[in-house]
Amino acid sequence: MNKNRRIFFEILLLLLIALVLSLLYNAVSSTGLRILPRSTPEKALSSHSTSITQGEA
Amino acid sequence: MHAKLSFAFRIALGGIFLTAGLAKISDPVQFLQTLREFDFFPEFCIRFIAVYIPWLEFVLGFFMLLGLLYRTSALLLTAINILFILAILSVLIRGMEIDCGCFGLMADVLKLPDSADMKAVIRNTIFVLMGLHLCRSEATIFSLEEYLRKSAGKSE
Repeated sequence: MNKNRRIFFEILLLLLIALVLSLLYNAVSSTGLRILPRSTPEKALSSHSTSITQGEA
Repeated sequence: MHAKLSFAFRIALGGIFLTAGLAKISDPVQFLQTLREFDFFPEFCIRFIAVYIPWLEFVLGFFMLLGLLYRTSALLLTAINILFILAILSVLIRGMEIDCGCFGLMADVLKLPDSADMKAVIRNTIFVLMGLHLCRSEATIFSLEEYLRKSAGKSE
Protein backbone atom coordinates (compact mmCIF):
# COMPACT_ATOMS: atom_id res chain seq x y z
CA MET A 1 0.00 0.00 0.00
CA ASN A 2 1.50 3.36 -0.87
CA LYS A 3 2.35 5.77 1.92
CA ASN A 4 -0.28 8.43 1.22
CA ARG A 5 -3.08 5.90 1.10
CA ARG A 6 -1.88 4.36 4.37
CA ILE A 7 -1.87 7.78 6.07
CA PHE A 8 -5.35 8.50 4.71
CA PHE A 9 -6.72 5.26 6.16
CA GLU A 10 -4.97 5.87 9.48
CA ILE A 11 -6.55 9.34 9.70
CA LEU A 12 -9.93 7.83 8.88
CA LEU A 13 -9.47 5.13 11.51
CA LEU A 14 -8.55 7.61 14.26
CA LEU A 15 -11.44 9.94 13.38
CA LEU A 16 -13.84 7.01 13.35
CA ILE A 17 -12.67 5.67 16.73
CA ALA A 18 -13.20 9.11 18.28
CA LEU A 19 -16.60 9.44 16.59
CA VAL A 20 -17.87 6.08 17.82
CA LEU A 21 -16.60 6.66 21.37
CA SER A 22 -18.04 10.18 21.54
CA LEU A 23 -21.48 9.17 20.27
CA LEU A 24 -21.63 6.11 22.53
CA TYR A 25 -20.55 8.04 25.60
CA ASN A 26 -22.90 10.89 24.79
CA ALA A 27 -25.77 8.44 24.47
CA VAL A 28 -25.20 6.74 27.82
CA SER A 29 -23.85 9.66 29.88
CA SER A 30 -26.12 11.62 32.19
CA THR A 31 -24.38 14.81 31.05
CA GLY A 32 -24.80 13.95 27.37
CA LEU A 33 -25.81 16.69 24.95
CA ARG A 34 -28.65 16.53 22.45
CA ILE A 35 -26.75 16.61 19.14
CA LEU A 36 -29.61 16.52 16.66
CA PRO A 37 -32.20 19.31 16.55
CA ARG A 38 -35.39 18.61 18.50
CA SER A 39 -38.13 17.13 16.35
CA THR A 40 -40.76 15.47 18.53
CA PRO A 41 -43.73 13.61 17.04
CA GLU A 42 -46.09 15.98 18.91
CA LYS A 43 -44.49 18.98 17.26
CA ALA A 44 -44.70 17.41 13.81
CA LEU A 45 -48.31 16.41 14.45
CA SER A 46 -49.32 19.87 15.68
CA SER A 47 -47.74 21.61 12.69
CA HIS A 48 -49.52 19.13 10.40
CA SER A 49 -52.90 19.75 12.01
CA THR A 50 -52.34 23.51 11.82
CA SER A 51 -51.73 23.30 8.12
CA ILE A 52 -54.91 21.22 7.66
CA THR A 53 -56.93 23.77 9.65
CA GLN A 54 -55.49 26.60 7.63
CA GLY A 55 -56.27 24.70 4.47
CA GLU A 56 -59.88 24.21 5.56
CA ALA A 57 -60.22 27.84 6.51
CA MET B 1 19.35 12.86 20.70
CA HIS B 2 16.74 13.17 17.96
CA ALA B 3 15.01 9.98 19.12
CA LYS B 4 14.95 11.16 22.75
CA LEU B 5 13.55 14.54 21.72
CA SER B 6 10.80 12.82 19.71
CA PHE B 7 10.01 10.60 22.68
CA ALA B 8 9.80 13.63 24.99
CA PHE B 9 7.52 15.47 22.55
CA ARG B 10 5.34 12.39 22.12
CA ILE B 11 4.86 11.93 25.88
CA ALA B 12 4.32 15.66 26.47
CA LEU B 13 1.76 16.12 23.67
CA GLY B 14 0.06 12.82 24.44
CA GLY B 15 -0.22 13.58 28.14
CA ILE B 16 -1.45 17.13 27.62
CA PHE B 17 -4.15 16.20 25.11
CA LEU B 18 -5.25 13.07 26.95
CA THR B 19 -5.85 15.05 30.15
CA ALA B 20 -7.31 18.08 28.34
CA GLY B 21 -9.71 15.77 26.50
CA LEU B 22 -10.74 14.01 29.71
CA ALA B 23 -11.33 17.32 31.48
CA LYS B 24 -13.67 18.46 28.69
CA ILE B 25 -15.42 15.10 28.39
CA SER B 26 -16.37 15.34 32.07
CA ASP B 27 -18.31 18.57 31.49
CA PRO B 28 -19.54 18.90 27.89
CA VAL B 29 -22.08 21.57 28.84
CA GLN B 30 -19.36 23.95 30.02
CA PHE B 31 -17.34 23.26 26.87
CA LEU B 32 -20.40 23.96 24.73
CA GLN B 33 -20.88 27.27 26.55
CA THR B 34 -17.22 28.17 25.94
CA LEU B 35 -17.57 27.35 22.23
CA ARG B 36 -20.67 29.59 22.04
CA GLU B 37 -18.70 32.45 23.67
CA PHE B 38 -16.13 32.15 20.88
CA ASP B 39 -18.88 32.86 18.33
CA PHE B 40 -16.60 31.20 15.77
CA PHE B 41 -18.23 27.84 15.06
CA PRO B 42 -21.53 27.55 13.14
CA GLU B 43 -24.55 26.95 15.38
CA PHE B 44 -25.84 23.92 13.45
CA CYS B 45 -22.77 21.83 14.33
CA ILE B 46 -21.61 23.40 17.59
CA ARG B 47 -23.17 20.66 19.74
CA PHE B 48 -21.49 17.97 17.67
CA ILE B 49 -18.14 19.79 17.99
CA ALA B 50 -18.60 20.04 21.77
CA VAL B 51 -19.13 16.28 21.97
CA TYR B 52 -16.60 15.19 19.35
CA ILE B 53 -13.49 17.37 19.82
CA PRO B 54 -12.78 16.32 23.46
CA TRP B 55 -12.99 12.65 22.48
CA LEU B 56 -10.77 13.24 19.47
CA GLU B 57 -8.19 14.89 21.74
CA PHE B 58 -8.45 11.98 24.16
CA VAL B 59 -8.05 9.31 21.46
CA LEU B 60 -5.14 11.10 19.77
CA GLY B 61 -3.42 11.67 23.14
CA PHE B 62 -3.90 8.01 24.02
CA PHE B 63 -2.42 6.81 20.72
CA MET B 64 0.50 9.24 21.12
CA LEU B 65 1.29 7.89 24.58
CA LEU B 66 1.05 4.30 23.34
CA GLY B 67 3.29 5.11 20.40
CA LEU B 68 0.86 3.55 17.94
CA LEU B 69 -0.03 5.50 14.75
CA TYR B 70 1.65 8.40 16.51
CA ARG B 71 2.74 10.24 13.35
CA THR B 72 -0.83 10.34 12.08
CA SER B 73 -2.05 11.34 15.55
CA ALA B 74 0.51 14.16 15.56
CA LEU B 75 -0.75 15.28 12.14
CA LEU B 76 -4.35 15.43 13.37
CA LEU B 77 -3.33 17.17 16.61
CA THR B 78 -1.48 19.76 14.53
CA ALA B 79 -4.63 20.36 12.48
CA ILE B 80 -6.76 20.72 15.65
CA ASN B 81 -4.25 23.14 17.14
CA ILE B 82 -4.27 25.28 14.00
CA LEU B 83 -8.07 25.43 14.29
CA PHE B 84 -7.74 26.49 17.97
CA ILE B 85 -5.19 29.17 17.02
CA LEU B 86 -7.55 30.57 14.38
CA ALA B 87 -10.44 30.59 16.86
CA ILE B 88 -8.38 32.39 19.53
CA LEU B 89 -7.01 34.89 16.99
CA SER B 90 -10.56 35.69 15.85
CA VAL B 91 -11.48 36.40 19.49
CA LEU B 92 -8.41 38.63 19.94
CA ILE B 93 -9.15 40.55 16.72
CA ARG B 94 -12.71 41.24 17.92
CA GLY B 95 -11.33 42.46 21.27
CA MET B 96 -13.23 39.90 23.34
CA GLU B 97 -12.00 38.62 26.71
CA ILE B 98 -13.11 35.03 27.28
CA ASP B 99 -11.79 31.71 28.58
CA CYS B 100 -10.25 29.49 25.91
CA GLY B 101 -11.66 26.35 27.53
CA CYS B 102 -8.50 24.45 26.60
CA PHE B 103 -8.28 22.49 29.84
CA GLY B 104 -11.93 22.46 30.90
CA LEU B 105 -12.48 21.73 34.59
CA MET B 106 -8.77 21.06 35.12
CA ALA B 107 -7.99 24.76 34.67
CA ASP B 108 -10.15 25.63 37.69
CA VAL B 109 -8.82 22.81 39.85
CA LEU B 110 -5.10 23.22 39.02
CA LYS B 111 -5.27 27.00 38.49
CA LEU B 112 -3.96 26.66 34.93
CA PRO B 113 -3.93 29.66 32.58
CA ASP B 114 -7.13 29.35 30.55
CA SER B 115 -7.88 32.69 28.94
CA ALA B 116 -7.99 33.20 25.17
CA ASP B 117 -5.00 35.54 24.81
CA MET B 118 -1.63 35.70 23.04
CA LYS B 119 -0.16 33.27 25.60
CA ALA B 120 -2.68 30.67 24.43
CA VAL B 121 -1.73 31.36 20.80
CA ILE B 122 1.99 30.94 21.61
CA ARG B 123 1.30 27.77 23.60
CA ASN B 124 -0.71 26.28 20.72
CA THR B 125 1.98 27.33 18.23
CA ILE B 126 4.53 25.38 20.29
CA PHE B 127 2.18 22.37 20.17
CA VAL B 128 1.95 22.77 16.37
CA LEU B 129 5.74 22.81 16.06
CA MET B 130 6.04 19.74 18.31
CA GLY B 131 3.38 17.98 16.22
CA LEU B 132 5.12 18.84 12.95
CA HIS B 133 8.40 17.52 14.35
CA LEU B 134 6.68 14.24 15.28
CA CYS B 135 5.02 13.94 11.85
CA ARG B 136 8.47 13.77 10.25
CA SER B 137 10.07 11.69 12.98
CA GLU B 138 11.18 8.12 12.34
CA ALA B 139 12.06 7.44 15.97
CA THR B 140 10.10 4.66 17.64
CA ILE B 141 11.79 4.24 21.03
CA PHE B 142 9.48 3.06 23.83
CA SER B 143 6.57 2.75 21.43
CA LEU B 144 4.08 0.00 20.74
CA GLU B 145 4.98 0.24 17.04
CA GLU B 146 8.56 -0.75 17.84
CA TYR B 147 7.43 -3.59 20.10
CA LEU B 148 5.04 -4.96 17.43
CA ARG B 149 7.71 -4.71 14.75
CA LYS B 150 10.23 -6.58 16.92
CA SER B 151 7.77 -9.31 17.85
CA ALA B 152 6.77 -9.69 14.19
CA GLY B 153 10.47 -9.97 13.28
CA LYS B 154 11.03 -12.69 15.89
CA SER B 155 8.10 -14.77 14.74
CA GLU B 156 9.32 -14.81 11.11
